[in-house]
Amino acid sequence: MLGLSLAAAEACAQVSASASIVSDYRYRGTSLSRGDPALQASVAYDDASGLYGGLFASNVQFAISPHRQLQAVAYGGYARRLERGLSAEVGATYAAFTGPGTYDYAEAYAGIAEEGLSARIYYASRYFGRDSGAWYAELNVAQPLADRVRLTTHVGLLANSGGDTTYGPTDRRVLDGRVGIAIELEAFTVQVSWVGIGSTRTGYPISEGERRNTVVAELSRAF
Amino acid sequence: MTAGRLALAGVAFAVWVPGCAAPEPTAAPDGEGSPRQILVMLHVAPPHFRPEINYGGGYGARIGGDARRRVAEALAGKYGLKVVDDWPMPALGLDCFVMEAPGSAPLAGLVDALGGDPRVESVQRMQIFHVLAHNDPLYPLQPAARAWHLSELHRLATGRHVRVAEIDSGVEIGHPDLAGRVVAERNFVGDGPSVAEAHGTAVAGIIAARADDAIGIAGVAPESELLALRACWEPAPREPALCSSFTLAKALQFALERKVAVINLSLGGPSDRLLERLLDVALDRGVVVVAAVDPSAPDGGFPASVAGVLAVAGDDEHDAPAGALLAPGRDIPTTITAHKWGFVTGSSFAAAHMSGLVALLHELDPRLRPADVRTLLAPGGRGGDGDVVDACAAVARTAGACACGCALAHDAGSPAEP
Repeated sequence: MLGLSLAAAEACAQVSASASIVSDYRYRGTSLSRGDPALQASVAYDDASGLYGGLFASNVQFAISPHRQLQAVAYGGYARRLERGLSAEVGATYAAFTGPGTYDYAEAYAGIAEEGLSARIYYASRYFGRDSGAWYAELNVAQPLADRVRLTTHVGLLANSGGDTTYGPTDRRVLDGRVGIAIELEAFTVQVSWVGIGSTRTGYPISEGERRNTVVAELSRAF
Repeated sequence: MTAGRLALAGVAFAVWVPGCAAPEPTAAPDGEGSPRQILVMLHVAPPHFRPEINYGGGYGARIGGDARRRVAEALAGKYGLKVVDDWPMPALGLDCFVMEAPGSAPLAGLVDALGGDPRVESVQRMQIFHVLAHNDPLYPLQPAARAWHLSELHRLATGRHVRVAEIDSGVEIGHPDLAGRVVAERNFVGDGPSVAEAHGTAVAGIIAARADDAIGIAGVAPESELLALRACWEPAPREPALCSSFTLAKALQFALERKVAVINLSLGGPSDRLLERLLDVALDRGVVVVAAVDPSAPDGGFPASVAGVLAVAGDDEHDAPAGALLAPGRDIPTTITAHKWGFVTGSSFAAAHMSGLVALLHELDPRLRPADVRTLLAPGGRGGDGDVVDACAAVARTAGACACGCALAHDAGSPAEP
């Protein structure tokens, strides 16, 4: 931890941070905050070699345990520019949760991107701490509409392996989508998005009966 | 490892960072491209996974911008400089910062020191470029359109749907002979809107002036889509325009984003690394870059001498460099400011002719790459002091059809059609 801080001080290079408030923490289309607002923060380090890493934290509230919990995600990876404006990356994340229950899990990913467009595929063998794994593939596109306004779109497919999980009935394939507008103000960014998901039987530790589709607003600040 | 400890690590990390806190950025100075300015390029990480974006389904346009500004301010503080301006160059994966050195200490040592700093991707001096033109309005009219049989070419192509970026001084877009011809106008010199200037307006008219509107001239590509990108400024009326590495780089970055087919650079100056890198990206993406030959430089100057760029000189020049293309460049009638027309002379305007011609070829065959274009324009190979371009033959070859009275007699030795 200290070593990480010292390294940051020495380089003072490309260390960024952000903080945001979201009206609903929708993770791959599923609410991890029981439909309630959440506070999120992150720090990130980008090295000239292409290595990057960081930490992300958010409050979550799983329906199975009634207490509010904290989710912290540590991640690291390597990204490299290719020809014709493309770039490719590989990396891994480790998500850890406070409180009772064993939801911690590791996930690996690989993807390609261009300015404004990215495609990524992820795999976790013990998704959200359950016995079975899951693949997730997503496509994200950001399109400028005006000087400081963008249209953001996302579509993702969750492929659960095995049958029903420890968290209840689970569909093998779940599609989620998101369409939003992001507006850059002086120091803040405001985003309003419509989030939709094909099914609530995603195999996440949440209760049934959560709303499938919703509108989410987010206010964030980058440092 | 629990979430609590992970989160605490993140907080400690973020709290430690304030050593890099930055003061507010300073305002831009009045003069662009002062001799005491240098360009410092910082890496921009390629787009990658970030949970605050990916789990939020959002986008992070400003990601890293503040971090890079902090690095730039730290560098400026360390080397006694002042950050003046910055502009992202995603085509190169860089953020370009303009910094100014106070006093009169020699800049060379500073450039070397900065170049050695691990946080810096590259450094270069800010350089000044000049447009290439003469002002000789008294010579008799010799319309370039006659030399190229322009009206006959226009029966086959007019440059429709072809985007041409004119990187030059300001264009008078309100000129009646340019009405509706400019699809985008941007000013990359200082802040504020563009202004109408002599050189830019003249070049615009040669490339894209309206045809058959019963006034003025007909451009070589009268239906092309012109992007008037002001990267040069005229310091005083009737003085030649100047451009800087920074203004030109911004304009090139914009032209790349807009995916233009042709870029016209009627200007010359010293070799410039940043501009050369952007031009390489353009050429690699199949953009045809046309540049005017600098008559005072033995190899044609920069950017005309960059490999892959079409170097163009006036067909009245006696000492054009080997491999240059020749086009009409003397006594060209064209649009000038205050809604008027006048005569201009210089390789700037020969280059403008060539950009228009390339736009015609591009309309006929959108898949043409820069090397193919060069072969079409001068199939006879590289002459000792330039190759006169036979526009009729080039268009006929591209269109696979007859042009200019169906005479391909100029085409020495090779068969008319494959």
